[in-house]
Amino acid sequence: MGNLLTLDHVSYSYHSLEGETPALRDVSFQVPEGEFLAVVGPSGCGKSTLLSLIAGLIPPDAGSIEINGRPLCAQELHIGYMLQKDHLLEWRTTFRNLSLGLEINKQDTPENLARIDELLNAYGLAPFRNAKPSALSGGMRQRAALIRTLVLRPDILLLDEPFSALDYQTRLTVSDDIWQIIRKEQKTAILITHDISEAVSMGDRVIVLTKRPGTVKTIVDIRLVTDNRSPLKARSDPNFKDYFNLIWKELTDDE
Amino acid sequence: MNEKTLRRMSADPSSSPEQRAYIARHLAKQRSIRFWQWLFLIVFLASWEIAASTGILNSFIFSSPSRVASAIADMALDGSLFYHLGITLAETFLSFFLVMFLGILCAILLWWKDGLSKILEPYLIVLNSLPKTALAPIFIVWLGNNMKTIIVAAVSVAVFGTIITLYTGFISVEEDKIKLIRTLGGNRRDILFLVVLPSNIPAIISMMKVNIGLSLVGVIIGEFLAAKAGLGYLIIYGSQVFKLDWVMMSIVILCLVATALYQGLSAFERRVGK
Repeated sequence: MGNLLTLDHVSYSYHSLEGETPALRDVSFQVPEGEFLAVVGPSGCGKSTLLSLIAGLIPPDAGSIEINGRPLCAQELHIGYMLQKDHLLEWRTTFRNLSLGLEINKQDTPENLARIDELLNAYGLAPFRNAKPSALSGGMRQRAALIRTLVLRPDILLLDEPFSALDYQTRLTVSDDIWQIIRKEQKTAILITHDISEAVSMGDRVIVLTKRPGTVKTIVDIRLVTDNRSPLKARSDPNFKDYFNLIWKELTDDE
Repeated sequence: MNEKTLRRMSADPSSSPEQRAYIARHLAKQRSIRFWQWLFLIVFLASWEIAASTGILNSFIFSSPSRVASAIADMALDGSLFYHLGITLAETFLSFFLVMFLGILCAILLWWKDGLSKILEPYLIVLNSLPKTALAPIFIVWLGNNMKTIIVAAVSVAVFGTIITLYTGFISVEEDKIKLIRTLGGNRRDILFLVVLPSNIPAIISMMKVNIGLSLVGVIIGEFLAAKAGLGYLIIYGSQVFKLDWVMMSIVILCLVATALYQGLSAFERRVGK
């Protein structure tokens, strides 16, 4: 497996009349195909900026971002982006919410639309196909939001704290749910979170960022002993606590 | 809920006695409100009529319900009532559609070009605060004593407020919804048609409810100044030749028209809202 995504000495600053705010400094890492990467960092360390850069929404001030060995190009859509809230559009039915990306990219062919129905069936949303999003529960809404991005067959999924708006219980089941879907669809994913246990339970690797300007502090490989790991099972893995403490220490010891 | 369903519910044997008693109380309250509303109208009309017929009010100046009714009947019979009403309605609808069309179009342009809105902001504020009636005499000089003046006057009353309100609605669309469209590969046009306009449909409809009333105001002002027909013309002409029956009649008709237009749009709002 080669590296799908490469960030090489990427820096980015925000400008306002009050002055310049460096958000990221000299960030470098690689993401191999099929990996689930979690990124943790203190709040305001530029985590969301990192995703915006990878998504091509903003160009880096310095450094380069490559996908499959080629420079990132905004015209080509390699990225599926899951935002903090599901942002399903209330005036569209579930199906028409999921076909949004296809409509925008003029790919709403019968085959692609049929794939939406496949995914709706596979992930238990078929009964709500023609319902407005308000009829869906919080977990179903997040699943719908994930399918909306999967429909466009992205190379990489970016998850920007997609569970932070959910209550704790829903959060555990939904993150398990979303993780399973991503594994099943064999997608590479980058999860941004400020929740250490979420990062350890979901990620194959965890990148710890420093305070602003964010830079890579350390990268932790998560090796759990549990077979058929899932985020829920991982939480009771014997190694879980050690990883938690390790990352906790990394996050706090620069204060 | 209408009275019929409520009456059926109050006698529904499948619900508990307490629930039925609750519905019955609700029904009684509704009836009492309806009763007082009618009583108010009847007392008002009756005292007006009695005062006019006993000479407490000079019916030549104050008219009376019966004189208004006979004026309506006379003008309905010779068709002139429908002629004037039709003219006013046509002008109102034309101004209303122009206001909505121009309002939405300009709001879109301002949203599209951020710089444009910054440049035009002070001018829009001045034009919106200016009492538009002050412009009416200029419109007569520029456009003549005709329907053009009336339409332009009516449009000027409502259009600037519409632009400002809709533009404010357009720019307050959630930033993350715009980000969503961008991450799905959409451009500014996609953002406009997929998020900004659809999420502002409630705002557009409530603007329509305001503007149908404002258009009517503008049209009546226009007709006061430059018209040979219409309810506004009837009011100003009637007061000049001391035919107060016509003036009162026109005001009564205007009350009915304004209410009907507003109710029509409310019904439209409920249908779209579903």
